[in-house]
Amino acid sequence: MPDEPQGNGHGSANAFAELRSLLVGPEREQLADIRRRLDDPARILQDLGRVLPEAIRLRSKDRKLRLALHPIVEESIRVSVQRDPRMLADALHPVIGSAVRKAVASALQNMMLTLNQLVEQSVSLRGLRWRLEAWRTGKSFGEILLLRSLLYRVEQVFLIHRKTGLLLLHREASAVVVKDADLVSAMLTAIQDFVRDSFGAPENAQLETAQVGEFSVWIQHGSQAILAAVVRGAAPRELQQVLQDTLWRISLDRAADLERFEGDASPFKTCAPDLDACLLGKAPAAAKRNSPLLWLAPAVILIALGVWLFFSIRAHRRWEAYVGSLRQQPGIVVIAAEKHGGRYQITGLRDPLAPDGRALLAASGIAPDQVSLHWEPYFSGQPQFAAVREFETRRAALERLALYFAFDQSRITPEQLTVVGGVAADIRDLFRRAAAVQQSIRIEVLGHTDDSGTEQHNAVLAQTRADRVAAALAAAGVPAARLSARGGGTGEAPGPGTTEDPGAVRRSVTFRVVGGS
Amino acid sequence: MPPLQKKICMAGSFAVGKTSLVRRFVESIFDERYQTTVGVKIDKKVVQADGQELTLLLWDLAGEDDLAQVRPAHLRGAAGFILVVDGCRSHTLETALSLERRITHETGPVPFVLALNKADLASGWEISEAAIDPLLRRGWTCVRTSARDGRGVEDLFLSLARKMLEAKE
Repeated sequence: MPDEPQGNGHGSANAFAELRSLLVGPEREQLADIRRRLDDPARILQDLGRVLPEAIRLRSKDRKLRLALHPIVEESIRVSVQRDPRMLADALHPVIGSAVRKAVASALQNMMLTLNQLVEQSVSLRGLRWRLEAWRTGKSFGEILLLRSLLYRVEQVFLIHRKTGLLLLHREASAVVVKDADLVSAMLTAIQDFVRDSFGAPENAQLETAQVGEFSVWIQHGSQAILAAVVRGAAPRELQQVLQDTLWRISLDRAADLERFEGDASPFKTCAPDLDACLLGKAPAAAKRNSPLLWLAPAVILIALGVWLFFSIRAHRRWEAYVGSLRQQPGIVVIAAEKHGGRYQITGLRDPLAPDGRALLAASGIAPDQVSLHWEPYFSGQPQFAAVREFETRRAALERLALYFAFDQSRITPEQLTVVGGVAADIRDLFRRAAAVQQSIRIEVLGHTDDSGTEQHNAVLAQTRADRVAAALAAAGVPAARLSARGGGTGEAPGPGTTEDPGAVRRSVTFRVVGGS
Repeated sequence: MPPLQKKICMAGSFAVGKTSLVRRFVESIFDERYQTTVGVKIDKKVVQADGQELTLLLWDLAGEDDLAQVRPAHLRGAAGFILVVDGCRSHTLETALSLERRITHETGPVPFVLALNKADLASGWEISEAAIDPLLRRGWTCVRTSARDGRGVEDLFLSLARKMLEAKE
């Protein structure tokens, strides 16, 4: 029975194949078709191409897809630029052209502003004052400029939704009185529209600053948001850059929030640190800290000036008084009174009888070593000097007189008595003249002997001669109280004699004026 | 719910009482002269609607007539608007209708409320129910208001606030 099963087997195999083709024929064809598709790259590309755009669109929010595409896109752009840079340039031109134009215009405007400030600061009164301050303090003009011109404070910063004018966030510096920020924000927007409409400015032109007294509003515009800063004082133009950077950062970070903003400002609360960073300012604290010193310095200078003035005026007065008293001094003629390098110098004529000015100097209060006196001697014609000089002449004449005696004699001869009368008259005259020049004098009558004989004898003889002449003078009217008589002895030089005999010269009586000058 | 802010425009013919309507009911720091100089005066009104605090920034636009056109820039970004009509002058309603078209053209379809003002003046009332009916049928909200006795004013703002919240949902 091998055939049967074979025949049967063959027959049943055919039947099975037929059955299979009947049952799963369509599926098998589909399966084969699918296999063909999978094996045929052209078909795969066709199929994928049909669904890819839709698939990418569906997964556009998917971070994985973005990350996957990122290097490819980057590389594609690089290759594209390498191959033909013009294509990308043409594509970007409308965007970049406008951005560059705006950047250049902004840079030019900043430059003009700087130039204006520079010119203003160079020629204005304030500029001159600052230059003076720079010169006075030894600082550079630039330093002073920074110190003085940058007294400003950003008091408020508004982040405003551009389309609606609604306030997204408002920050203010401490101790700033803020009016309703919502309203200010909206009004700022309205005013911008007003300015643009009123002056026919193009749609993309913007109000960038508004100045009211010491306040100014600095406005930066983004495509979705506006950043406005209220500034008190004169802020440096770097502030503009700070505002611009802040707005750019917020615009980038919050692009989605800004896009779907519908009145809920709460997502923007996290921008507070960015806005706070714009609340810049430079308080004039440095100037305030300086103020006590600034006051003290002039005060000290003023006081020093006052003291100096006082002393110099006093010194000048003393000097004037001293020179005046010198001029009044009889016997002194001041020719020049000058000051040379802190020292006083007086030149003039002085009668030897006049004081030399040192005594007056002591009374004047001027330090003697500060003054040098140069006197040329002269004879003053003033009466008091003439009287003194006459007195001195008469005195000298009296002291030259001598009464001569014979050897070992002390008796006054009649001829001698006549001479004594003349001497008495001379002495009385001398007394009168002495009184006239305020001098008190008396007369010493001196007896002399020659050197023969004993010393003891000679002493007695000399005394006797002096006594007798003194008595004769008293008898002739000279007050005895103002006369004294003594023996000069042999050793004592007699008055000047004129004879050849030395002994004769010595046997004499002479006179000496005692007291006075 | 965080508080919301909305920009609202108020428009209408001259002397329909836009400014008077808001004067007693809003917070303001600006002088009324702003309106003649800048063309708009901005006031603020805070309302509570359905548990939501809403700050309405009211852009009170200069009166509409042949000479003074509403500035499109002022309408930009408005979430709603109020049309004010003087009930004693029927032509102000026509102006309001044309304003509605112009504003909607600028802002897109946003909620608005029609205020029939000077409701305290019963005599001399010119706008009939017949004139209002077609508007109500189109889904307009009309509120009779009086700046003098204050009737309807709170309701006016509240209606608009609700409509805006609904529109948001």
